[in-house]
Amino acid sequence: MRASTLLAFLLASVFGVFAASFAASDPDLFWHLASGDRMIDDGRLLDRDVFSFTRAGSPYSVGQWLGQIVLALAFRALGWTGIDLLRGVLVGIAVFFLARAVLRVQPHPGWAIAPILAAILVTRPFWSDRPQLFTLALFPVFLDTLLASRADAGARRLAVLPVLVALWANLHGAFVLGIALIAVFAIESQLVRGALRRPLVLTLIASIGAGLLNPALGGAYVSAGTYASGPARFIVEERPPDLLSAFGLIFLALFGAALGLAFVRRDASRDLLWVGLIVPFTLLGLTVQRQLPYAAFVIAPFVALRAREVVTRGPVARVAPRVGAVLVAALVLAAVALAALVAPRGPDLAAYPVGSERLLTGAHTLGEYDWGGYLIRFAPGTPTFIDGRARAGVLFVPDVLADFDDAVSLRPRYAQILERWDIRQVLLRPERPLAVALREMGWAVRGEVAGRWVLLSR
Amino acid sequence: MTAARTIGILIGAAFGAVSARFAVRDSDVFWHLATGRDILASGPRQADHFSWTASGTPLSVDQWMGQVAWYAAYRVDEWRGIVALRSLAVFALVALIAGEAIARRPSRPIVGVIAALPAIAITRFVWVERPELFGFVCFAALLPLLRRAREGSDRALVAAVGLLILWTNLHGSFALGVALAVLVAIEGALRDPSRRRGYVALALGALVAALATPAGVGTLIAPGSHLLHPPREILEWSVPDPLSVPGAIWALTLAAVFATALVAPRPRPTDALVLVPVALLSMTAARHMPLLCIAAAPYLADRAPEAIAAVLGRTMSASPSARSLPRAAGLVSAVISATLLAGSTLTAPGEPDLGGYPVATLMALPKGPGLLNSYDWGGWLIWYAPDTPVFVDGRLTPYVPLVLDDYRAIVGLHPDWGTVLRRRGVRWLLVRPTDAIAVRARDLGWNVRSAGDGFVLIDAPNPN
Repeated sequence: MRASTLLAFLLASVFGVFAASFAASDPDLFWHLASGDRMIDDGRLLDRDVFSFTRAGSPYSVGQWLGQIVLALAFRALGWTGIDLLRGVLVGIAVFFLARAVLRVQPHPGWAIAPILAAILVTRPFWSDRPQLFTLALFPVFLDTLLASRADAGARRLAVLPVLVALWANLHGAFVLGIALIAVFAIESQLVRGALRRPLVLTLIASIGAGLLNPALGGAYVSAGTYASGPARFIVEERPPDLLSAFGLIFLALFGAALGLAFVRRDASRDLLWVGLIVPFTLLGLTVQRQLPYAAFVIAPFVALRAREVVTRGPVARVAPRVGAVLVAALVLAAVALAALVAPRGPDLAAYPVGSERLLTGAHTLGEYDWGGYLIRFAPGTPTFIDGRARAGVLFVPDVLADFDDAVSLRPRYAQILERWDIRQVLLRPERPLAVALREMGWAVRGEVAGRWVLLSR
Repeated sequence: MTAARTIGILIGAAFGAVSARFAVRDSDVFWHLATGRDILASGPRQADHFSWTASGTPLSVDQWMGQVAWYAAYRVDEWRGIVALRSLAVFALVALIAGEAIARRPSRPIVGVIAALPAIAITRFVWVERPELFGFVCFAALLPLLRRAREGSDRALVAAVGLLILWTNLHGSFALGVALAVLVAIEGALRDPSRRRGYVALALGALVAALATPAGVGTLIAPGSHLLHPPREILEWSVPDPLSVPGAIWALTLAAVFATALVAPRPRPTDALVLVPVALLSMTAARHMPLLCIAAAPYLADRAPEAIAAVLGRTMSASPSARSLPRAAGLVSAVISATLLAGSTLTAPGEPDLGGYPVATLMALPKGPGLLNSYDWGGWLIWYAPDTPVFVDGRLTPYVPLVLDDYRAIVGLHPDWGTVLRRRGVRWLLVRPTDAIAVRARDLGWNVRSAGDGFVLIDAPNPN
């Protein structure tokens, strides 16, 4: 066993435990859990809205059904700790394969560690408990597999990719990223007449076919295309990244290193691959911040590769297989035990209107967008006005979202919107203009936590 | 005159003439003009007297010369004078971009023109009547000077320092020029010890230039603050969005630079000296995006054809040196350019485009302090309603944080809006009908003094 593989295990264990130490708090987790629960209980896919009163019965995407069921099963098995452990495992997988991909091109840990850590830190804001975590884990798996195949011209391991695409297509809608990775390697192989020309093309075709093996069939590709062409800018994580934020600065440094090292090119024939990987994924990441980790994943090995040209590649230390196996087993066991120990026993609900669920009457309620998932989980008797399932052309977009925005911002037609949807109560942040106005207009304050939430009723 | 310079001048004149077709419409032009007028009257040390909320606050004068230049243009021929100056600045900007790109591949000017197109296209979004436009011109002028300085020209070293002194007084973006000059000086001193003295002089001159302004050290505060903490709520300071038109041009340029650097044969690490810092800066705010396109144009003209040839498996012959044109050709191009610019300016719109402003309310506007105005209309009020001091305007810095927080509290109907309204002594509201405060004021039955398309002027009952 190579020492670099051991290092990858070590990094995966450390960051897996670190990821598991955070309490669940993502606003979308709650409706994903509720969806998974509903599917397990009913024994059928959830393809119609059952949680809101504004879009009740409307059809919507089932692209993440398996991811939601996995989340629900983790919760049923171990409660909130199950969610934390699942997060730790998926982040651990992502870190392990990222580290392996980087150490594959730069085995010297001293030079590989900086880009690895930078890429991991760029992913930190996206360790949210949603099916997208499966994408975060699977993308580096694909990258490492493809780099390994290219390095040793081994076609056999490519066979696993279409199988993983079939799985990924049911876990999360971003499975197209994996196919895009294969496409880049396939095109580059054609251009440089690489040894894996035919296997890569076959893998690509098989993967595209495998992507159809989900309940939405070709609709999954249409959904991905719609998403890429018009991200929902009203969702913060679908806006372009602020590269002066903490994680943005780390990405900026990583990209700056890549750009600087690009000017000291050594081997043009090998560099077409990096053009194909870095340019499209960076543009994607600069367009939609939630895609930034994938740009970091493909940039990190490049930076490490170029660092190798600055520093002579040293011999890779090897560890006896038995010793390596024992070390890996010990690492994994220690990581799981430690993760279970440090995992919080409950979610972090500081951002939610805790306590309001006891006061809600089930009447039509205009609630905050970010609190929709919370209400679905904790106040199932009160259907939502809007929640995190909003996507371009799906469920609440554009009309319900526009009504929500106009009403809470106290735009001129707010009163008509309240009448149109027969709103009897509002559950909002106290600083919302609508909350301020309705309070002044005499709506009854049924509950309130200063600075956090207020529940008003007619 | 070289062919590159001649073609660059002609292209610049064409775009300068096109820019003259657009009426003045930038929301900040008005307060820049008013400031320029005040500086001419009483010198560059200024305290605010346009607002009633920050009156007396010392003002940054880091763009004093730019403001005076715009006001001087206004004095010459009012709004047409502004258009003429903008047209000249666009001419200079485009001519510099195109000329430098063509000069890098003089045997095929079309390559330089194509490489310059993204930069020229994206500058459309900075054809503004503000000192910022001069900043872009200075940046485009500095790049060839630094290149020539690296190639051995001592005159370029001196000219670069002179340009930086001018830039420091025109606009706050000079800090980028200083940083690039110091970088080039350090690299040059290490690479060519025989010219070390010249490079040291360039570095020192650049640093001294940064202080050669009435604002002194204070001139570094605004650029530094905006660089690290850009006011994201202002569109031009928002993050670059590749799905916008300028963002797409920028993103494609960034992609082209990266791909070219990786693929083009004969790597030249010194190309990174300017391109890497400018690329990173351009990724931090939308207003910096044109900088990368401008810096990348000569690089792409020089290296992109080689990169494309490398991908296609071909080799390219070395580019022959610059061709000189007969003196007559230069004269003809100068005459054509001057005619184009003069003709377009003479027929330029003589009035600003005030479509976005509450012009119809001007007569109903009360005099004296007490008006809370929409942020975007502050500059317009400063110029057109000098007897009505503003609550806030596009100068931003005098209002951060207290006045701006209070402005947001009232306009956004925060829970304490009534308290803030009374504490500030607001007597009238000039806001958009869709603002929460306007909706609430109508609900409360406050007197609407004047209303029109996109504005409403409301009396705010105030016990004070």
